[in-house]
Amino acid sequence: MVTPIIQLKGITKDYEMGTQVVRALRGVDLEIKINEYVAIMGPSGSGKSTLMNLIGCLDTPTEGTYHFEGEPVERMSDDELAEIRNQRIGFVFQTFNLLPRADALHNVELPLIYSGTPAHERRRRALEALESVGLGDRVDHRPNELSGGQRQRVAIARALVNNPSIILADEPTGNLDTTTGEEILTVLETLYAAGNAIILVTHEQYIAEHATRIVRILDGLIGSDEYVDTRRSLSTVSD
Amino acid sequence: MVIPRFVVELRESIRAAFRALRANLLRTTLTTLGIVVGVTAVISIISLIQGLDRTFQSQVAGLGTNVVHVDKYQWSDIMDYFKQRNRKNITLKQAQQLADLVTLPTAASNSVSTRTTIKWQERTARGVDVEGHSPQGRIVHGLDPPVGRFFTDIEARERRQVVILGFGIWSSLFEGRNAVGHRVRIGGHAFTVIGVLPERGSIFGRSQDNKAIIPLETLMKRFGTRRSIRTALLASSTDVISLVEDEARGIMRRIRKITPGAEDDFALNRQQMLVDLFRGLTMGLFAVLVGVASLSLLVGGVGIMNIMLVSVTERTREIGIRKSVGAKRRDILWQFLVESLVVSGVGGVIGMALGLGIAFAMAAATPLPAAAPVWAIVLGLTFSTSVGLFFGLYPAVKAAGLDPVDALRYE
Repeated sequence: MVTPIIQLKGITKDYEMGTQVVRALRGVDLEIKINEYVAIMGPSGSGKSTLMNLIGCLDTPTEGTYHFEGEPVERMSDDELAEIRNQRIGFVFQTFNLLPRADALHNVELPLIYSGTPAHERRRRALEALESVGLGDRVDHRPNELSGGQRQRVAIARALVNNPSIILADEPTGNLDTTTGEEILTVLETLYAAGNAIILVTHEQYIAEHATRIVRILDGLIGSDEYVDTRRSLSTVSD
Repeated sequence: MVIPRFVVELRESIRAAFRALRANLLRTTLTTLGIVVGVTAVISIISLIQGLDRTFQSQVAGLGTNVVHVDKYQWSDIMDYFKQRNRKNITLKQAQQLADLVTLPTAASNSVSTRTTIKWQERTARGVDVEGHSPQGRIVHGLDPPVGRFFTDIEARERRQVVILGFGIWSSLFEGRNAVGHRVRIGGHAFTVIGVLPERGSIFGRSQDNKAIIPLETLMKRFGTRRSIRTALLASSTDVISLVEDEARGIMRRIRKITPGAEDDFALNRQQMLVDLFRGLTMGLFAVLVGVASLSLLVGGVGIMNIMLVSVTERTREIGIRKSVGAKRRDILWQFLVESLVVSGVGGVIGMALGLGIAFAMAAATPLPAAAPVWAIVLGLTFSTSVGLFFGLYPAVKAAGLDPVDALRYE
C-alpha cells in the first residue's frame, strides 16, 4: 500500500475574530496519494482557503492530525514548516506572488537559495525550470516586463524548481483571461503527466474538470469527494 | 568546496537589502543623513583634538617636567591677564637675587625674549624670537647645541655679542653651510654665531626653530631693559617641586616687599599647569562632541527605525512570498537587519570620509594640526553600525515574526 502524501484526520481550524471564535474547518479527513490531480472546490467562506493553507504548511490546525509523507506536521515549529514548504511543496498563487524587483531567474532561484544550493547549481536548475515552462528566453525580465501568463509560468517554474512532492495551485487562472488560463492548465497537466501530484483550488467547474478528482468543501466540511474524469480514471471513491 | 547554507542565505539577505535600498535611493540617502552628521562630527573633532593634543604634548615637553617658572603671568589663568598686566615687571636685579638666594633647585636661569630681524649677507629672517638666557639656561632649558657651543659665564658677564641660532634660522640663512664663526646682524647689531640648536619642529603652524639665543644681559643692553624677567628653577625631581615652589614664593615676596596677607604679584608656573589647562579645554570639547554625536546618532537611529518599519510594512507581501518558498525566521530577520546595517554603515563611511576631509582641510587651511587615530575610525564605524543594529532589530524581529498566511494576504 502506498503511503499517502497528504493525510488529514479530524482537522479543525478556529480563528479568533475579536472576541468571537470562528470555526473555519470542522473536522476534515482527506488523503491524497502520489500522482493525483485533485481539485478542491467550494464557495468563498467554505473553508477551502484555510484547508489550502493547512495542506501547504503555511498554517497549523487547531485540532486533528496532519501527516505529510508520513510525518506529523501539526506540531512542527515554524522553521520545520518552512523546511517542508521549501523542499516538498511548490506554490502557485492566483496573484502570482513574484518578487517585483527581481528578474524571472532570481524569482525561480528563491526556493533554492533558502535550501542553501550553491550559485552555479542554482542557476542551472532555475534555467532548466524556466525552459520547462517555455520561458528560456525571458530569464532576465522582471515581472512587470512579462504578461500575466508568463508571470504565472515563472511562478510555476519556481514551484517546480526544488522537485517538490506536490504542487499547490490556488486559483492559478483567476487573474488570467480564458485563453491564457487554458495555457496554464495545459502546463499543469503536463506536470501531472510527468508524475507530479497537483492540488488545484478553484471555484470554476470547468477548471476543476481538468483534475482527476474533485473534493467539494462546504461549511468547513468535505461535501463530496469523487473521481470524475472517465478519461483518466474509472474508479470512484471507495470510502 | 561546500559553501555553508548560512552563507548562501546571508548573501541573498545582502542582495535583497541592496536591491531594496537602490529602489528607494532618495529615501535611503535621507535616512543616512543623521548618521552621516553624527559620525562626521565625531571624526572631525576627534582628529582635530588629537592633532592639537599631540603637538601640544611635544611642545610643552620642552618646558621640562620638573621646572618651576617664576613669571609675572600665571600661564593657566587667561582670564586674569589684564589684571596681571598691571603688575610691576620682575626686574633683572630681582630675578638675579632670586637665582642667588634659592637653595633647593639644582640650577636657576633667567630669561627674557624679544622679536627682531636677523640678517646674514643678502639674506634676511624676519620676526625671529630672540631669547636672552643666563649661562645656566643650557642646563635648565636643555639648550645644548650639537654644532658649536653655548656661551660661557665670561661671555655673559661681559655682554658679548654671541648667538646660538635655532635650526630654522640657520637653515634659511645658511642653507646647510657652516655658520659657526660667521657674523650675523641681529636688529642691526653684529653677533658672532657660536652654535646651532637641533631641530624641534613646529606647533600650531609656528616653527619652534625660528629663534636665536643670546646672553641675557646682552639682550637687555641692546634691546632695552623694560622687560619682565622670567626665572626657571630646576628641581632635582618632581617630588621636591612643591618645596622649590614654596622657597621661591617666600624669597620673591621678600624681594618684592609684599606685606603679609597681600596677594602675590608674581606667579609660579609649571608645565603640568599648561597640560591641565589644555586637558580641560579639550575635555570640554569632547563633552560637547559626545553630546552632538549621540544626539545626531539617536536622531539617525530613530530615522532608520522609522524607515525600516515603513519598509517592513511595504514589503509584507514580499515577506509572505519568501516565507511561502521556505524562508525561515532568521532569513527574514537577517534580510532586514542587513538592510539597516547597510544604511547605517554607509552613513558611517560617508561620515568618516567627510569628517577626515574636514579635519585635514582645516589642518591645511589653518595652523590647526590634525591627526586621524585608528581608534577614532574604528569607533565611528562601530558606533554607526551599532545604531543600525539596535534600531534595526525591532523592525527586523517584527518582519521575521509575520504570519505567512496574513503576510501573503496583505494588500
